[in-house]
Amino acid sequence: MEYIELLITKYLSDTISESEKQFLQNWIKEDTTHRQLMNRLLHDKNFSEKYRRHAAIDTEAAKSAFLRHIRKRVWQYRVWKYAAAAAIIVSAIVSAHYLFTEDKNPAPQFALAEVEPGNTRAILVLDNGTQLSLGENEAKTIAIDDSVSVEMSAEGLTYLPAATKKETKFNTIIVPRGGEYRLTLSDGTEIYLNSESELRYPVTFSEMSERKVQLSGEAYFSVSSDSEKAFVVEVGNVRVCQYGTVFDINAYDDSPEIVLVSGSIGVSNDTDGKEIRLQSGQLAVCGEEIVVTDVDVTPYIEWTNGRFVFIDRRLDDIADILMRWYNVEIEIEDKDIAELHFTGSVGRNETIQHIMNAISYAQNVKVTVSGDKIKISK
Amino acid sequence: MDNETFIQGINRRDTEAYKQIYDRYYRILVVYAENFLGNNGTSEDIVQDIIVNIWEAKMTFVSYNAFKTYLYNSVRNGALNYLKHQGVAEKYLEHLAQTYSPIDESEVNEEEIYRRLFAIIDRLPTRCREIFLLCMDGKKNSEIATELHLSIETVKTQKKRAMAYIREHLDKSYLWLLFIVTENMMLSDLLIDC
Repeated sequence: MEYIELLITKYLSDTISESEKQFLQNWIKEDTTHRQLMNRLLHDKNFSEKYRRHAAIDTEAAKSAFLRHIRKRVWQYRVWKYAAAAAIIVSAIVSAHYLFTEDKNPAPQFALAEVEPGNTRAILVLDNGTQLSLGENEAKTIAIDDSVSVEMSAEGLTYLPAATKKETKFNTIIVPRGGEYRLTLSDGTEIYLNSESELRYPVTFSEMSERKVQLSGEAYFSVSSDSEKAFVVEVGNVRVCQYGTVFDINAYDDSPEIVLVSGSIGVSNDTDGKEIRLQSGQLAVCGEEIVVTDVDVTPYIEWTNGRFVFIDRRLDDIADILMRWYNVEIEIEDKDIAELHFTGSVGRNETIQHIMNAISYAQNVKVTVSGDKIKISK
Repeated sequence: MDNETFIQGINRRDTEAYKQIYDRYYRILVVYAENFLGNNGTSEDIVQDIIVNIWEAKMTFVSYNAFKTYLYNSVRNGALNYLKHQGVAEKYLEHLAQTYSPIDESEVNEEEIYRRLFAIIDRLPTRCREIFLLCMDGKKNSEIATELHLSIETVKTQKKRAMAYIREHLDKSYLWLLFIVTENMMLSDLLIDC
């Protein structure tokens, strides 16, 4: 296409050669839209006017404004960079030291009190591979694609209904460990993504027969009933089809768990494709077979209100959840401890130290930082 | 800076590459926004916002083409959104959205044609440029001569100079492209021979 652009530029400026003209003429004949484009360009009688407006724009002023704007931030960034460099040197020395001594209990590389809880952050991947990092952005509306705009704010991302209908494009939100992110799809469906999760979805549903998205990790869905199309979540080979609903899907391991808060959903998997309908307050565990039980939904969804609720949970499972949220490694020294069960509730904004203290008091286990890991031992 | 280096620079958030966005695209994007908004300063704000946002969101692009498409379409959507917030009639918005349809990577981009041509015209000597612009407006040599108080001969010579300069620089800027295209043509010729 750039070659055609070149030929048209040459044609307009009357600098085209005979053979090039031939090539361009063939292209024009190919399609009526090509002919229309050429007509439009050739009949633009205000070429010089357009050029003069162009020439009058002060590029340098705009460039300096931009540089002033980013310099402030670059300076802040440098301070952090040097601090980070210092930290890396320190840890390099520490690890070099332990490389030679092979200590079984390496010195702690951080203090428990320093471990920060997760926060709002994610990466948005557009259809064409373009990536944006999302955080607690200032509120603004941006165009992310040909015809799609989103509102970005500290509350997350909201897709606005598309201005024009085009082929369906897909975006992906990737939430890293230590992150969480909220978004609202173009149909109004609200989704709250937990740490280490990924969601792929169409930017608009207008061209699709159903509203289908793909999930890995954990997310809480509040599906907009403002559409006649079914909302479908695919997690691995499990399909969750909703009929106006609020539900949570936890698919960190091979057996996704789906909890229905209200409304009605159908769950099926690839094995037999048979759909099982859930009632509100039911949990479906999708292993080889789908097993449905009645549960109290609170512990499954309280993370969306900023709390961890553990009811008779294995320490091993709790450690997995904490590792994702605090982005740390936790090692449980022996099997007996891993099988201990805990019940309790704690805010997600608390430091990990707070939670670890609670665990060690409750079951008389020892929590230490060993190297780059948190170790739980007898 | 070639296109590949330029995009890598953007992806690394290199200031030099960001300065190049201004040198290469700022003016044409503002002109493009003015199609929607007229000439009242808002266009410059919209373009500035888009570039600042690329920086702040640490955006990365897979190719130069993806980057160009992103710029033009962001300006288009930004301008349409602005008008919507101003309470502009739905019908007029639809009309604008149709007249200036979203730019597709695989289609010919009119604004890019203007951009390249304008960049070369910028470098022409003043008189040469004046004559060439009037000529592009569809004026005859005699009309240009009268308007600028010049002889027809001078107009002809200056026009030739302008065209020679433009041809040379267009070919230069597309050299790699010509090479690729001719290579493909040769291959297809060979295939026909076989």
